[in-house]
This record gives sequence, C-alpha cells and structure tokens, in this order.
Amino acid sequence: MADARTRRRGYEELGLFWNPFGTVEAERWSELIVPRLDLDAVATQLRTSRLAVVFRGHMGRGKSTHLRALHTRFPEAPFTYLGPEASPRTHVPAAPVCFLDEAQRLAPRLRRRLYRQVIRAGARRGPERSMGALALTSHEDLRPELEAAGYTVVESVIEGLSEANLRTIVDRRLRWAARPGASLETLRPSLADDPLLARMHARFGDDLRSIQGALYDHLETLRDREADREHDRKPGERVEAQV
Amino acid sequence: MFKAKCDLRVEIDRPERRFMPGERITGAVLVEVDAETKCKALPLTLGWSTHGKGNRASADAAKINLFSGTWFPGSYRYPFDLPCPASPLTYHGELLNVDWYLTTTADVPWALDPEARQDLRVQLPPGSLFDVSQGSADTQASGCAQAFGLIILGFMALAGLIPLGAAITEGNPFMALFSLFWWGILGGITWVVVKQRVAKSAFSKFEASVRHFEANQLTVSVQYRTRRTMNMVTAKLEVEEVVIRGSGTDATTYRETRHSDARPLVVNAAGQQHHEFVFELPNPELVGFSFDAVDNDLVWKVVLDCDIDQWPDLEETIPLQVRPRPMASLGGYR
Repeated sequence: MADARTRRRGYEELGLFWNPFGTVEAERWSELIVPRLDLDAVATQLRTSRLAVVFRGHMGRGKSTHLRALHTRFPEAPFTYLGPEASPRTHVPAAPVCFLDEAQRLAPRLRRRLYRQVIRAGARRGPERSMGALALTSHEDLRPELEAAGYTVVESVIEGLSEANLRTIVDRRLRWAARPGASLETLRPSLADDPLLARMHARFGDDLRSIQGALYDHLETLRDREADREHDRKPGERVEAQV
Repeated sequence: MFKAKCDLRVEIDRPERRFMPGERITGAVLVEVDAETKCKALPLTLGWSTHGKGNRASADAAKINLFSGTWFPGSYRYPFDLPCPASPLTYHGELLNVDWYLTTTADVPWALDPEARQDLRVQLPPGSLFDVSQGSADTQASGCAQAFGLIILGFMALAGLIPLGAAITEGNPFMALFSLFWWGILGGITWVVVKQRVAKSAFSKFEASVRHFEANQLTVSVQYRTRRTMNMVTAKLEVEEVVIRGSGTDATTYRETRHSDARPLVVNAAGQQHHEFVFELPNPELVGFSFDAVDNDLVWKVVLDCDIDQWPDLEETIPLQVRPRPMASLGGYR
C-alpha cells in the first residue's frame, strides 16, 4: 500500500511544477516539438496548394507529434486518429485541410475516396483558399496513390535522433515544467545530465517515446527520494508537512 | 536584430502559498519590459490541472484581465484578489496529481506570448469533517455494453456454425479443429459475460449498503438469502487512483492502490444471513478525497467477494463518494 504522506512533496524540491516527461496538453504540442522541417512553411503550403504532407517512420519516432504540432496551426480542421483496432471503414470527415493519423489503417478504397472529397471541399472554398490539402502519418508508402489523385506529395521520414537533438527535446520539456527561478543550468545536472541522455540514447536509439517513458520513471524515482528527504528533515512534522 | 524583452512573474502574498476554500488569494503580476510594447491583454487565470501518468484534465475557476494598452520600458505591478475555490483540493499521489495554478500570459504581437505561472495549494483546515455517501454504479452503460456483447456473441455463434457444419458433413479434420477452437473462444467469452448473472442466481435476495456514523468509521451491511452454502464473505475497502493515458483504442488504463483493507468472514452456512463489517476510514486528507475528471479518477469503493460452495464467486462493488463537508456559502465540492 502506498504511504500518501511520503508522496505529498517532491516536484517542488526538484525545481519543477510537474514531471516534464508526462503527457502534454494538445495546445502545447507546437511549443515542445523540435521539428524536423519548417512547420510554418508547410502550413502556408497546405493553405494554398493541393498538397499532401506525409510523415513516415517507425513507432515512437515522432510522426504523430509532428502531425499534431502542425494541426495546432489549423484548429478548425478535423483530426482523425485511427487506433490499432479501428475499423478500416472508419468514417473520416473531409474538409479543405484534413488531418489523418495512421492513414494506412484506412481501407485503400476509402482513402482514395477521401482524397477526392478533400479536393472537392477545397474547391468549394474558392481558388484563393486551400485547394484541398492533406496531412497524414503512415507506415506505408502512400505517394503513388496520392500523386494519382492529383496531390503534390511532400514526404518527411522521421527517423534518426542525434544526441544533440535529444538534448534539445529534453531541454524544452525541462523548461516547460520549470518553476520560476529554476534555470536549465540548475535543472540539467540534477535531472537529466548528458551522461544519462547518452545512456538512454545508446539503449533506445531513436525511439523517442521509450526514452521519454524511461525519463518519466527516472524523474519519479528522484521525486520519491526528495519526498523521503523532506520527510527525514522534519520527522516531528510528518502530518503537518503534507498540507 | 534587437528583440524586446518582456518578463512576467506571478507573486502570491502568502509565502507558503496554502489556502483554504473561501480565503482570499492576493498577490500581483509583475511585468518588466525593456522596450515599448503593445499588450492586447494580460489575463490572469486561476485553474486546476491534473498531471502524472494519465492524460491531462484541467478547468479554469476564474479569469480576469489585468491590463491592456502600451507598456513603456520599466516595471509594472498589477495586484489581484481572488477567492480560493472549494474544490478540487490539491492532491499529490502516485499516478495522479491535482494542482492549482495562477497563470498569466501577455498577449503581445510576437510569435510566442510570454507566460508565467505560480502554483498554490488548496487544502482544508486540519481535522475537517467529511461525508461518505454511497455512489451509484453506471448500470445503464454496463447494460448497454452487455447487450452489445450479446449481439456480437450471437453473430460469432452463427459464424461458428459454418465450420461446424463443414466438419460434420465433410468429415474435414481441419474444420473440426478450427470449430473446436472457435467454440472454445466463444465459450470463454460467454462465461465472462454471464458469470456474474450465474453467481447472482444463487441468491433470492442480496442487499448491500454502507453507513457512515462516526467521523472515521464506515459500516458495510450485507443481507442475503441463498439455498447454497456460503463459504466466506470478504469485504474490502479500497482507495484507488485510476488514470488513462492515450485515447481511443490506443488508451491504456493505469491503477494504483492508495489504501486497501480486507475483512474476511467465514460463514459456512446457507439460508438468510446478515453481516456487518466495520472499517476504520483512512484520513482522506492523506489518501485523497473522491475525484472524478476526464481520464483521472480517485475512486473509493467497497468490494464484496462472496465465495459460494461449488458455484461461481459473486463480486459486488459499492462505489463511495468521500467529500469534504461543504462549508456554508461556498457551495458543493467537485
């Protein structure tokens, strides 16, 4: 059974508001991502041309993160995520700009129909607006069918993660969770120093999701330790300390 | 190129930043700019947010605009005075944390608006009273789920007739094997669906309720009548964090028990019975009050496990709502 009293503190002593490697609100995606391409430029193209942007790559590399960060620039556009058990016949709403995560899970016939519907929706908006654009993630090569439907395809393969890039991603997370007065210079050595990131990188390679999961657990362990220290500092005020 | 600087800071007058519901939260937002800057708005939001293993849930309790206009180089101070909300209370657990924040963002014509945040704790006075009530199970949803499950099972049974027919008429061993496998799975699923109904059919009466007489005592009362021999009844008081990470079919549920107290009672008898289990309640200020937000719950419940001789066990859950006793003028708690 967990002892609640030993878990009432922890983050504050680490200089944080929360665990930097926990879940993120949708509206924060674009602040925390370290994009592999200029998302603002892609957004401009999506608004003005018949473009299909496809993020490809293995699981946990950041395809969906890129797609969601791009979507924050189109809050009115529908975003559909097809989970592992989603029906290949799932209805995907068409719009002048349409976002589809895990597009390979949609039946090919329905995908082709969606491509046509998006172009029609774009045309209804008039030539000065979008001509019908798609932003997708996929494990499969969808370029031939997108080109056949009349789209210009921009493919971004999300793979490889340098240690420098990992450092940047981790630093953004630390800054996001930092309390006033806590700087990266003070947080880095105690929470996620370079040797730790090098070990994570050596173990998980470019699987960013697994690295973030491991860093989450690492921070929780540090939080436990801080909570225990706090408890040891004030043994006579154990119950008082929790409030 | 020179880039203007705009530093924001939220300062709360009370250094320990701990407030009780209804108290005034006072402080100031401090702004420092080193160039002339137009500010469309300087909103200050008081809101709570969950953080931890699950998806984030949040809500705002108050929002005020402190300034709009032009800043010239210098320092500015905008005081605020807000009432401390009644709920949810600050909670720090294993998988789930609930914290309150004062957040301000300067709406300036830059790519990223400067933002500052300060957290505060919303807590009750030590030894505050609390209420325990019996919650209601979501029977409608489970009824719908059961009906849907039965329809799926029906279709699976119909589909299972095809390989069975082929196995019988053609004597095809592959089809016989496949049919055996299919009907095995179907049987397993059916058992999971109907087990609780079968278990309950052993009782001509089954009633369970909770009573909260004293501050820290909870009495669970179980009355039943059965023709079968009841070996043992176990009542378990549990407090559990339940959070969901991800969405749709990609969602994962995580659970962490904060408190568990099991009381087994050997019965070895049939007929009409009445048992009472008395629990010492853990302090909700330590294990947390009931909390219910999207993907983030702190659940109090009593689980009754009836071990019936040569019959499936019956497991009944009584959800509890453990809430701080509302203070006059503050309204209800979340």
